[in-house]
Amino acid sequence: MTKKSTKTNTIISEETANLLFSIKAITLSPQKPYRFTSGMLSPIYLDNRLIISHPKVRNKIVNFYLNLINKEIGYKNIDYVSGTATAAIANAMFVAQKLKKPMVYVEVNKGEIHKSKVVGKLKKNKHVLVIEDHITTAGSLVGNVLAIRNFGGIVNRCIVTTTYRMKQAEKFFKKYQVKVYHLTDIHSILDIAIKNGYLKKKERKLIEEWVSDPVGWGKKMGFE
Amino acid sequence: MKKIKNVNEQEIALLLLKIHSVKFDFKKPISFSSGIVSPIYIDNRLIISYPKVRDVILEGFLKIIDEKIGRENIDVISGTASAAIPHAALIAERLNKPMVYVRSTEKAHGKETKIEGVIKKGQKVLVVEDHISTGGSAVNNVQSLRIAGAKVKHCFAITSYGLKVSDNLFKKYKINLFTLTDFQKIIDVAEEKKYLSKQEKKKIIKWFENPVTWGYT
Repeated sequence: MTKKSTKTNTIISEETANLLFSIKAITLSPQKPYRFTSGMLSPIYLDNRLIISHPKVRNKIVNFYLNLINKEIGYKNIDYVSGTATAAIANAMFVAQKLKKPMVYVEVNKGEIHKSKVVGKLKKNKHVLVIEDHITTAGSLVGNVLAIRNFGGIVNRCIVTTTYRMKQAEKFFKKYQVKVYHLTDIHSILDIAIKNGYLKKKERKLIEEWVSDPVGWGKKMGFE
Repeated sequence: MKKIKNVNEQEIALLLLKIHSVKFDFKKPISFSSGIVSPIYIDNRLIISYPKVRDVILEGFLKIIDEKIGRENIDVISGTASAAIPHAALIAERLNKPMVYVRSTEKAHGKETKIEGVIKKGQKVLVVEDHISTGGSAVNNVQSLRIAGAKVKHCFAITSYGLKVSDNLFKKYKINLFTLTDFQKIIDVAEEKKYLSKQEKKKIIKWFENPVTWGYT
């Protein structure tokens, strides 16, 4: 990556975090954590599906995607765009439409990832860019990538709106040899949260600890 | 932006036949979740993989909006998950309007619908479907939006079988359905372009007249 592109990426990263806070796609509650349906406690809640309801924010996010694709991948290196159902379908459609490329989406079978299904008409040996709305542990992203590969598509690269940068996700990327670009990550999100006063400086560590150990965090922090 | 000329219902029917979104199978008729057995199978999910067809569909929807509804009478576009999300997204993007989608999840006691995105009370919502067979999922989408306080009058679909069961449902729930092409045009074009023989067309018309018992006679 060149110095110039690093700088642009920093701007994209901070601006994306700002936008997501502005539409409440990201909310923080370090003192009174959220409980996910899985039972897990979390000091951060993220719902990027809200982006579709805000046209201005949506347009900016799509432009960031195009910017990143142009710089890091190149439009001509993409034959198809694939979104993960259901949350990333709209995003994948916006990007595919701007690039005038065919699109597919993948219905990920979380229980048996090898049974995930490609929807649409995918030709074999084509380069597919996978788009995901958010990465926690990267399970559904891997489901998308494997489904495309099982079908005969070539996937090396993914773009995701947000990532927590959890160790398990990074391990998955290495294992399945996929390069993942993100618009923004937990570090920029926390930077912006502190800058804008959504988070106290001393609470930052609390959230970082959740990222490094989301399963054990609730107990460790004395919430359960 | 490249202007796409107005495409009529027959041309849309032919495009769908060409990309195999519409298929016929008399040996192994498909069973719907409603129990109906059908020799005609429509999978409009394939459209997203064909950028030109995708644009024709989009232009078709925009034409209906401009001629029959008016852009000012739509605040939000809602797609039914998963198949109609891409088409809802394309319309929302072109009109620069907010979008939501409605998905149904299996719960211990039947199905539960959930709206993803933001709906405010009183917003006028256009519901987008990919295909209407019995109309059940379109009505689910509409009703969950109405429960959330939205006003829904119109529903779009690329295709519909035009079965009585769906006609009755839309009437009952006071929904105007607009489609880009219909059953009659599809089978007319299919015969003309040799996707169907005369004999097969007759069989399909019989199915249309009585879809519930067709598979068992």
